[in-house]
Amino acid sequence: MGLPLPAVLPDLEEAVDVRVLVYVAVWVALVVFTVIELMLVGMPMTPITIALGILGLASLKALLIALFYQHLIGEAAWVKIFYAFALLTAVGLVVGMITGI
Amino acid sequence: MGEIPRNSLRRWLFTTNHKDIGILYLVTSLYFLVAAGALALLVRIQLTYPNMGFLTASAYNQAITVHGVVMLLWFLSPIAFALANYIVPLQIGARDLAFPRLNAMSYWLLLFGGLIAALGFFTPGGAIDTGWTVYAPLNTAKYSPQPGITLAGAGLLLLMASVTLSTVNFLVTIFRMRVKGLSLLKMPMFTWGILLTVFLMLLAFPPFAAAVLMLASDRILGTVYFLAPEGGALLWTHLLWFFGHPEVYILLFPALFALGDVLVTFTKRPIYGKKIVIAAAIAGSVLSLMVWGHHMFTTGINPVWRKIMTVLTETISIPFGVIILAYILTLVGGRIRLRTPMLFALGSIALFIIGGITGVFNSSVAIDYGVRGTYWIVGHFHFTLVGGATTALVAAIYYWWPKMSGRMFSEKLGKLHFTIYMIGYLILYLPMHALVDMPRRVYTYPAGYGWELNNLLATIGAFIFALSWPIFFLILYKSLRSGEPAGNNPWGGWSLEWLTKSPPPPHNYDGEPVVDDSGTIRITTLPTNGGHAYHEHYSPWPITISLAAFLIFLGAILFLPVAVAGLLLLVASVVGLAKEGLAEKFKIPEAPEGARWPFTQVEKVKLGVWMFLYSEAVLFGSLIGSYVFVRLNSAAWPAPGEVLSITNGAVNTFILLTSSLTAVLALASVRVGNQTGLKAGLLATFILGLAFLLNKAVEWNEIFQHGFTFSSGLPAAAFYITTGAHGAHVAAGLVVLAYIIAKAFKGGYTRENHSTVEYFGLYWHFVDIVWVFLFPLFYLI
Amino acid sequence: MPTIAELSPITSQWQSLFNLYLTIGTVTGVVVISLLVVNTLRYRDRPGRQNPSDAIEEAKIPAERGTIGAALLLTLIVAGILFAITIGTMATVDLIEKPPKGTLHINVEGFQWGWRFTYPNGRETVNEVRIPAGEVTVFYVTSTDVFHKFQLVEFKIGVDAIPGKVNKIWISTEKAGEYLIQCYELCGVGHAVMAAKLIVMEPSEFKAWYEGGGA
Ligand code: HEM
Ligand SMILES: [Cu+2]
Ligand SMILES: [Cu+2]
Repeated sequence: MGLPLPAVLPDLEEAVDVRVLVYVAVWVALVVFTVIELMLVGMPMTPITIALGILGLASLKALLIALFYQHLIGEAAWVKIFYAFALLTAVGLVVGMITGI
Repeated sequence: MGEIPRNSLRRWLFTTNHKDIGILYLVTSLYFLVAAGALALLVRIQLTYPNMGFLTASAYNQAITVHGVVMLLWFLSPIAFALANYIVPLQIGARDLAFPRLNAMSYWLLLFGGLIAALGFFTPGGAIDTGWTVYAPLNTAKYSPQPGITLAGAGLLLLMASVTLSTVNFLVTIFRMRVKGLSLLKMPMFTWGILLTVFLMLLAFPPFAAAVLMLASDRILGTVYFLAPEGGALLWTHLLWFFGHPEVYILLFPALFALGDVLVTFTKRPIYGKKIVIAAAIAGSVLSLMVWGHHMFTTGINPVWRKIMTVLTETISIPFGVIILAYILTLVGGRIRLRTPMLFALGSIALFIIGGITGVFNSSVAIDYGVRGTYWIVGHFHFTLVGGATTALVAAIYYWWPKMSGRMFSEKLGKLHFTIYMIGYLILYLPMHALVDMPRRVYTYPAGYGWELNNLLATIGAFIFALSWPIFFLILYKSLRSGEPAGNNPWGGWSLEWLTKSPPPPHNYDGEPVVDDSGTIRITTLPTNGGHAYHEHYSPWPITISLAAFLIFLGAILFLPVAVAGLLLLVASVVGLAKEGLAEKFKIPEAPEGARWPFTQVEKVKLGVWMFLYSEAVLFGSLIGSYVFVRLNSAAWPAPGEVLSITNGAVNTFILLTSSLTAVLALASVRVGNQTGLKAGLLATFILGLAFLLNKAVEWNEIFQHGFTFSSGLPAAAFYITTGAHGAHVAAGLVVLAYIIAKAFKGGYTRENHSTVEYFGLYWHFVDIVWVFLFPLFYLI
Repeated sequence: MPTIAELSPITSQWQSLFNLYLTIGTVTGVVVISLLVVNTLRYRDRPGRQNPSDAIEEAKIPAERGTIGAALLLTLIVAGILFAITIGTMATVDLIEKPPKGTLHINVEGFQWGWRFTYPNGRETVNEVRIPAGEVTVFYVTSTDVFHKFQLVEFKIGVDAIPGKVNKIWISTEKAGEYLIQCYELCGVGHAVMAAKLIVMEPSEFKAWYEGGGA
């Protein structure tokens, strides 16, 4: 097939069911995390804790999508490094703006 | 398209050949140079003496603003990309850029962007007049209601679309299309310079794009991002300078690295420490993303931050110092021929040294309290941008001119040009350093502060410097008319571009270049139909799409019916493009082998998609960052559920997450040849995407009814702009998806051949990831 | 016109810092540009000059040249120069940013196109501000509309006037007289004429003016 497949997923055509299972499992996790986010909203905690918790879950969800749906997990190293660098750039901008206030 | 005669107008309008496009860039950028140069002369006339009445304040402000914007974005960058277009594929032995039609589109977007910005001169209130930095809140409709600024914003957006396409194109080209044996480190310096430039562009332009989008929304829809006292003014400076500082390296690198090639050829020795120069440039690039605060020393940002920025900025001069010293060491032991390109190259280095040193002054927060906003700064950046970058690019044009035209130029006139250029230059810009306390961007100044003499000198210098340019054009014109034939390698260079004819044939090389293990470059002759044969191709859609974008913006700003025409043209062009795609006219198989590290395994379209997504990540990062910034600055913000319905957002989240699942299942299906699964997955994705947008429309309508309108404050501004940009991405995804579905129903994807489905997924999941953050940020927190 | 050194402590310290940069910068510039010129002349192609041993050739990847040691040395030279001047900066910046106990606090509002000054006793002036000689005056600078920069021209010091934000700048001078305040950030068509007079008065005169409420 010539396509780089995720290393953790067996690169066998018969294994397609496994792959589909993984995709579905990731979706279930995404839904569950979203539900937890929703439950966090009304919790008796400081707004900062809630915000951090929710954003932490969001980051986890983003990571799952990137690794399994974008197949980043089996992608060439430099694709990941550049991705990380771009994200770091964005984070640097945000942190700089906020701390510069 | 069939063959088009090489001398017809149609060829120039529809061409996708990198060399043609390089020439289009060259002519266009020189045109913008002349236009912006004329504005500069008006400015200098007005400043000759104190209290002159040659220009009104408004005319003066328009002149300096358009001068600055055009010189930076429509002259200096495009002229570097003229050379990049022409030379980089030759230097790496490629037949063309990776995506020829996108390349053509880059050019046309740039041209139409420039035109729409220039239209401002013909509207009431005139062209943009805020200074090239377009500071907020002067840039908002409240303080500057004239359409000229909105038009310039539209021009900038077109330019940024152009830049994004070029960056992706050049990154993929340089990473994936080098000939066999040409490792990254063996590449000529100029190609290295372009590689670093486009990489910086990829990361630095999106924050500016975000800022201009927000500004456009403020001006057209009435949002209040930059008007708000809760940080609006500072927000603009952050985004602008986050772009603005790397931008100076974006302008410098092509020139600085072109110097590398010129030096090597005319000293006949290799660059001293090529690896060190490259490493230094990479270090400088990374640092350049962290020093934007040195343009904000006097804004009252955090004092600790100011000191950190001082130190980081001084650190950034280390790599540039190292590069300059390495260049000087390159001369040692050489056999230096002082031909015209070399003279300009040496002149450029000398002037850049001075500009770099004055930059170190500015990097001191203490000194900057005094010099920010003065002619000292004007002197500094003209030494770097004109003295350093422009002079080096003149050297580069002289250097590659024989290759592009096939003819030599007059050495004697070249030396005359150099002399007048340098004399004019120094009389023009040196005196500005003595105006340490004179304000810049003033149309008039009082007598009695000791500013008279230096202003007079600068004006005299300006006219001498201006005179050098017609000489330049005359030299090139004479060369075209009657220059000696140049031969393949008139200067005795080593790199690939000198191994083919001057000018090169459409396919660049009669044969397949390779670099063998001993470092010798050979052109192996292959049967013309073997390997990867080259067909010259043309496409009308790049120009029509760009024109459509131009019309849409024009309509939105000035006269709505024009936008309708633009929209129709866009639809027609996209359909045409899709048909071209379905017919696989532009499907150029990659050469069987080549030097492709570090992306050996990543097919070129896929790499392009990834590169594009990197810039998208920074774009959304900037939008989200802006929201966080103003929110932390605001005393009050609506609580979760107060304005936006959490249920609504949650439903949309589930919809989008599920659409990612269906998209990936479609891919899994086609991988095992399951056509039903493919079609079902794609259709489901489409329906879910549509549902997401419909739900949004309902939601927007509802909150609008409840008074949460575009102009109702910062929370509304942040919400509508950020989620609106996201919604636009969903909509764009659906357009591509419609094409993919059409192709899938024609049986266009098979087990072996379904990469489009995969690459679409990368984009779609990215859009999903963005929503994963937007949902909590806007609905839950 | 008083000399820079006489004008005020921050101005004179600013000027000596600038002079330090200017000295080091000029020396560096002269040395480096001389290296450029001398090497160019020395290795110019003349009759009889041989090709270097590692001369580039057509269609041949150039040899490598240069050592890591040399690179480190270059880096250290550049870094050393920068280090020296950074120290100077840090001392000066503290002086500029941390005013000594101020005696007079004036609120400054930039507007299109002028400057409004409000004294502690509520007294307001436009485009003219009077301060006593020999005392520390702190300006609290903001803007009611767009971005401006409040520059004390002769004092070579200034700070941005930004809506929604207050920035501080201080001066003190022994020299009575009239000075220029000018906007240094483009703010619209009136920018060039957005100026004010800074009038430094003998303390007793100032007191009379301030308390008298007259002109
Ligand atoms: C690479 C070549 C360089 C270019 C093209 C360049 C360009 C510019 C430009 C265009 C500005 C003015 C922005 C404005 O309109 O306000 C500027 C300002 C500045 N430059 Fe450079 N510069 C270069 C090198 C340097 C270096 C080497 C340094 C420091 C080590 C430096 C430090 C600064 C600082 C601190 C400012 C802000 C000054 C102020 O506005 O108060 N620059 N530069
Ligand atoms: Cu900068
Ligand atoms: Cu102003």
